[in-house]
Amino acid sequence: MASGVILEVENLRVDIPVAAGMLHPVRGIGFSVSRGETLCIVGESGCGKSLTSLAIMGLLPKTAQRTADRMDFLGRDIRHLGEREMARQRGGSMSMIFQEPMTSLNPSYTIGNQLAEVHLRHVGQNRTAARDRAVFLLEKVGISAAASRLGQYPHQLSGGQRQRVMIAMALMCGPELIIADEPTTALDVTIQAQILHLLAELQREFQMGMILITHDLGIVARVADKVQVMYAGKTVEEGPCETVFDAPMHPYTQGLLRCIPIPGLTRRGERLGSVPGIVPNLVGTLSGCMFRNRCDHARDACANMRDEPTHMGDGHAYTCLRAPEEILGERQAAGTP
Amino acid sequence: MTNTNATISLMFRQQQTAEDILEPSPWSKLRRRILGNHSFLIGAVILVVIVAVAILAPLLAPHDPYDQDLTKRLTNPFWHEKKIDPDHALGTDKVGRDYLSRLIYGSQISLLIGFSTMLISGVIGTVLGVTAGYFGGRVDMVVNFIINTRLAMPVFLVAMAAVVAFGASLTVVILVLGLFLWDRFAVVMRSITMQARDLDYVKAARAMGCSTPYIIVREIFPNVLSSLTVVATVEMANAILLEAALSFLGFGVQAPTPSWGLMLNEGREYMFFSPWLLALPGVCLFLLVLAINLFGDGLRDVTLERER
Amino acid sequence: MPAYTLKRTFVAFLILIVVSGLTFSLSHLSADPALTIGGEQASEEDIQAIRKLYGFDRPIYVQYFDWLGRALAGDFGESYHYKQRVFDMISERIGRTMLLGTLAILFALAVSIPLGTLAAMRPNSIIDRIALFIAVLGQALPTFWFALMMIIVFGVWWRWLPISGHTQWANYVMPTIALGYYATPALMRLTRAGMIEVLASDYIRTARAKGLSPASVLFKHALRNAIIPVVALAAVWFGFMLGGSIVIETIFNLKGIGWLSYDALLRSDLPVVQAIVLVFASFYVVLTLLADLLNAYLDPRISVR
Repeated sequence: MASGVILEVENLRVDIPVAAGMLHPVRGIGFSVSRGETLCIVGESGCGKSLTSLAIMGLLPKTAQRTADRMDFLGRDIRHLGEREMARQRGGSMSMIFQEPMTSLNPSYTIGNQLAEVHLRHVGQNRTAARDRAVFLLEKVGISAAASRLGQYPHQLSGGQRQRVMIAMALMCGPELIIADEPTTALDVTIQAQILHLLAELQREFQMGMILITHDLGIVARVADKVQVMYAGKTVEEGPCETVFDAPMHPYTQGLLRCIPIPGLTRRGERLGSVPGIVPNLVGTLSGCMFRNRCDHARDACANMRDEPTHMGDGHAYTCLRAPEEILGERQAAGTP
Repeated sequence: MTNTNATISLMFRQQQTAEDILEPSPWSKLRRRILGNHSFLIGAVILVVIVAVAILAPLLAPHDPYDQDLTKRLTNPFWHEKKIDPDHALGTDKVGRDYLSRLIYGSQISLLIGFSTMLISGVIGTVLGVTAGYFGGRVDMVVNFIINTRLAMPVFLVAMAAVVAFGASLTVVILVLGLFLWDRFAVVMRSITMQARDLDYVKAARAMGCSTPYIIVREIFPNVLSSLTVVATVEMANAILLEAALSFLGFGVQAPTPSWGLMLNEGREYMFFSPWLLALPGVCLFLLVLAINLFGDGLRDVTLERER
Repeated sequence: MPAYTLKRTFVAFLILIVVSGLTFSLSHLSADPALTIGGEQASEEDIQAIRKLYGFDRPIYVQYFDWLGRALAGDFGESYHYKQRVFDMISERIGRTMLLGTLAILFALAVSIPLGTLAAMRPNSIIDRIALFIAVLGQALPTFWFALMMIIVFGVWWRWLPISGHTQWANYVMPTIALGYYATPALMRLTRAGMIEVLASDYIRTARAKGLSPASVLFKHALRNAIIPVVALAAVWFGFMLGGSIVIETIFNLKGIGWLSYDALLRSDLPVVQAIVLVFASFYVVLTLLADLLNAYLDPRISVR
């Protein structure tokens, strides 16, 4: 275990039996997160990024099967932990924030009850301590009059406030790792920025490892240390945030980057790029590069391609048949970064 | 639904569309769905058998259900050892009438009551419900009040009182039940009509200036038809059970009509020595109601899937 | 909220007046109560005298409002047959019917909530199928026939339970089951559907992500939300059950007000019948009102509206 590494995952796969055969939504994902580091997992909906996070938490649907070559959390193999042991980890040393703040809180219980509950479960049966911690964290996440909010029900709060409560709930037991699955998608744009800022700040303050799952590259650029681009259940490109943004190698990453407006560079009225086509069906035996039917550079060999990433140094790697020289040469010819 | 679940179901759906393309026709699909739906099949088969028995009663019944033979009172059905009469497979009742024939003719009464009650209450409930749902506002408030009033009335007691008041007969029982069992029709039709009213093509029809009756009959009614059928089966079963209970207490169909409920009433005094007099009509009632319920449940599943 | 409650109460009251008015006119328009009171030997003069005495010669609406006015004061008149105050006759027996209804609904809930929950936790499992089977059978079984079969099996063949009366606890066992099982299918289906929906909800996922114990997820977070509509339905069913108690009480000779109404109908004892209709209707109306209030208490979102 490298120093400061919290979570290390290798070759994670999720398989779900469906009527038509076996669905392979996650097909061999690997990454590591260190203390104080933010890893962003990026991709379209349906690429398996949410299932990846649920797989780590042990929250997959009952029918789903999870396999991995390695899943070490805090130096401990969590692949074969039973439900009881996993439950002890969840909410304690690893916690999760979901994308639907409106429905993720139980409507029948007060905020205070739902916050204290985590503390009582993982830290100990001390109601005063749990309450104090809840008030402290509610203030931390920017909720005013925190003590009086404890008696409120979820429906009395706005969406942004609820997501703040969810964040406070995730932090109740001082987790080492926090997984945020599209935490701002359901919120207004102005609130999105606030929540994101808050998350980044708290992550720095408490020195947690964070996995942020999103489809929004704008968010990634602001908070990520490392980026992992997923397509059809596989990593197509990964590396340090700046490197990936400056020199995207995979055609899918390039396509995604064309979709974000860049202040100053994107002119008003100019059409943003898009990645045409739809995510392929992931049922049955799959082979070759799954992006080939949407790719401008597809060639016959893509159908038989093996998953051997090309390493560019500094942890930057991509999985495509095209040689680095070809991509870089083309970029110079086009004159765009 | 969570995003993850939505994603998974999206993937399923893609697969299903692939199947849809391979599917030859919607009719074979519907047929497969019906055949795959056991409750619908079982219900339909039992129901068809009972209806056939009711229609063919004169041919099937070995005896006249009213023929008394006081020399052959209370003979046992065939599975007993003593006091059996080969002429009466299921024995005879207290005045020597052939029990099998009475059971066969009893199906006519139950089906008649169930069907006519369903028609009367169906018309009342549908008119009320569709009116309330379509017009909303004050009309809806009034209909709602009527529905609540009806729900507050203890049906069984008031039905008994009505039978006492107007005299016990088949017609009175049908009318009384028909005038009482419309509540579910009204409630369901009201809410479905409300939903249908907001459908785009109904709005379009209204914008085009179609008359209200036209919209209700042409645009709304086809929408509510499948739910209407399901409610109809529920009410039919309900009516049959209520008639049986009324007749059992002596406030329904009168002797000597072969009604299953009345037969239970007549058999009650012999329950200690001839329990089959009670068991048989009850089993018939149970089978008929079960068949109607299974049929209705299955129908709901089949139509729900089609609408999806 | 107070305004809403007030409006609901007013409507409930109005419903009761309409129900009692309908029953009153139904019974008075169709049969001549004077004949009932006079009996078979009464002469034409006797009948005329009875009409005068009881005020049957007045227009029906006058009679109704006269009756209603006194009913509101708790005076339901006198039984034609027993010559007793109807109020006393009812209050003497109503406890038994209430007890039976309460036991029956508790029985139904005790069966349907655990079964529905188990079925929801493992859809399409053996337990789910058994629960569905029970529901389908239960819905088709005629209550009174089921009661008769129980009497034959448990009362006559095995002699486990008394078959009639109301003096000991054992008297209530079979009536409770006979009356209660009929509500079980509906309550169980609702529990199952509610649980399936709740278990798939985001806040259950949150509860699991918090690492709560499975028991806490199930009982604290899931069941409470799933049970809210079940409680409402149970209250409505309780109202129906009091009405359904007529057949059961008659079969088991359990002398509650259901039995009393049967007895009164046999004797065309109109004042008793009218009073009992009003009692049953009031129960239904009050129970639906209470169900709404209970819902509002259990689900804090409702009280805000």
